[in-house]
Amino acid sequence: MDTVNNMSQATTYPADNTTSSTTGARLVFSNIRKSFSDTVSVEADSLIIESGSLTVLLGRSGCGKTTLLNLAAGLDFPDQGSVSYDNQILQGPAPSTTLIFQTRNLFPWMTAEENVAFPLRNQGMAKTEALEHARQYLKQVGLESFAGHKPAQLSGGMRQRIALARTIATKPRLLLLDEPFSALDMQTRRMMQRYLLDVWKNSGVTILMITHDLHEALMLADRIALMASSPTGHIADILDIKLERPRDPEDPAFRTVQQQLDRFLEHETLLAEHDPTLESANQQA
Amino acid sequence: MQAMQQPRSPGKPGQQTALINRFTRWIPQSNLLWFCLAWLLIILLWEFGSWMEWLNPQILPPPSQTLPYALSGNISIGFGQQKTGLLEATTITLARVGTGMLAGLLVASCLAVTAIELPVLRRLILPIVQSLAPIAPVAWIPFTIAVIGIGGQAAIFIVFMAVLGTMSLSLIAALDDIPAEYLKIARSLGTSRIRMWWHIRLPAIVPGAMTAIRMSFFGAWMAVLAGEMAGINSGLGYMIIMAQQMYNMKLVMIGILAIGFIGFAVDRLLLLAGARLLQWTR
Ligand SMILES: Nc1ncnc2c1ncn2[C@@H]1O[C@H](COP(=O)(O)OP(=O)(O)OP(=O)(O)O)[C@@H](O)[C@H]1O
Ligand SMILES: [Mg+2]
Repeated sequence: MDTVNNMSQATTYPADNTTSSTTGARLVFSNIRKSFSDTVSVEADSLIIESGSLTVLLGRSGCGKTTLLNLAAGLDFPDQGSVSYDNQILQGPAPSTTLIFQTRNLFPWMTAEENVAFPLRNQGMAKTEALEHARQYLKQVGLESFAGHKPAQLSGGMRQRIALARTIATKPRLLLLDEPFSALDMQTRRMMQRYLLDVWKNSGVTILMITHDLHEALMLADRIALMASSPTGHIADILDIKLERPRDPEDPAFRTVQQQLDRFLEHETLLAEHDPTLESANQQA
Repeated sequence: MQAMQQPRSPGKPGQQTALINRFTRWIPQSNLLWFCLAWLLIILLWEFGSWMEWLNPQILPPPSQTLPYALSGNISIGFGQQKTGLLEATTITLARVGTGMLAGLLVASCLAVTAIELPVLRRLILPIVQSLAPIAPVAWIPFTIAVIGIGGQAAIFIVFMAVLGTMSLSLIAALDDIPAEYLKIARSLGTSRIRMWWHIRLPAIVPGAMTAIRMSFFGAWMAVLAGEMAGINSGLGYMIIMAQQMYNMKLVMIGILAIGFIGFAVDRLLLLAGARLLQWTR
């Protein structure tokens, strides 16, 4: 498959039902405490995710990013505090919310089109009709010729694109992404970022995304919530990224923000290195 | 030291591998061929043993007598109502194993579904199946014959008890092992409970379930034969006991060979079916 070709298909987005924008959900995390054992816990005092915004959670491994995402999805619940979705406290799986992980997004026993048709079938659409729709959505990510393939026969990038096609099909109000592009090579990752921005712009969905990649965060985010891991996982800072779109890494303003963030992350690393609890762990190792 | 350094001398290792390659190239890779070769060797040793009079032909008749008898096609033992043939006996035993295993699979599936859907009942189900699983299948024979009798139902019940524990445990383990991502994604895509079972959990556990079925087949196969030898009045095991009581040692041998061969063949069939299913679900 020629990736450049696919990209051009994605930018000339068909003006069909996907553009009929639903308003994105508004999420509010307040006074969250979540612990897994005596030592591990995650806190989030106040994080507001506005409707239609694109927020990125950035932080080192183990600081609780996935935990916060699970709370937002309503797949897990805090010990204290609450997550509200459009002013309603979540008590079960969040409505019209789609998840995309780093891997295992597609069910390996279904073909590409069956994977995309699956949520439509859940809504009660007839099989042939659902598959017809699925092929349309696959077309939007340039993969209609792979409709009958099983995920095992596709590359990692193709699988993530199909997951994105399925996301478009479900017309979610909230899209939660946990390091969705981490397993991809640089070029594919850039392409996927542009696909994601297209979906976001065309649908008005609220996006909460986790990444380790500073560059990726700056290319995509409206806001970056910086997470730190000591003494417990918490949100250390929230930055509004007011860079113009489409963003250009060569832009001096982009570089300035990047350097600021770099300094923060370095500081956070230094802190972690002087953390007594971590130090004893290091000595043991 | 010398020996350690020797292979390093130039030329030698290359020559050795070339020699090995030349040998291995003549070793055929077909499993079927090796299977036949192994059996040919056993039969030859057996014949040779009889010929050398190491083996008493009264007790262990040589292949030159046993095989023509086996292939003659009208093997039967007993008289009147008790008369039973090899083919008939084998069919009966296989049908019992199949029925018992199907029943076991059905009940085990119900237990596994309950254990996943209702965590409270899981606490009750787990200790029960964990205590059932380690009981040797043959241990059920005396109990079954005392309670149910010596008919076909008793044999089916023995198979059922033999497979129930292990099958339930393996199914529950396979369900617990489904990657959390699949379940989370399916849930967030608005999948109903029934569709969750049918379209997500069932295909996800196919490999685990196939292994469970294969594993429990061995237990079931041994248990049913032991039951038939211990009193149940038909089937392959019964035929062997009858033959022994009538001093038809040829038929005893044929029975034993049939047990081994059918067991092997069914296991292979299950393996093949499993590979097919896996290909279809992956
Ligand atoms: N189900 C769980 N049981 C016990 N501990 C958990 C569980 N989930 C997370 N944790 C712990 O909570 C902390 C935060 O985990 P989390 O997965 O949210 O981190 P993360 O920021 O997503 O890390 P990564 O970048 O490596 O994915 C970790 O120390 C982890 O070990
Ligand atoms: Mg994580």
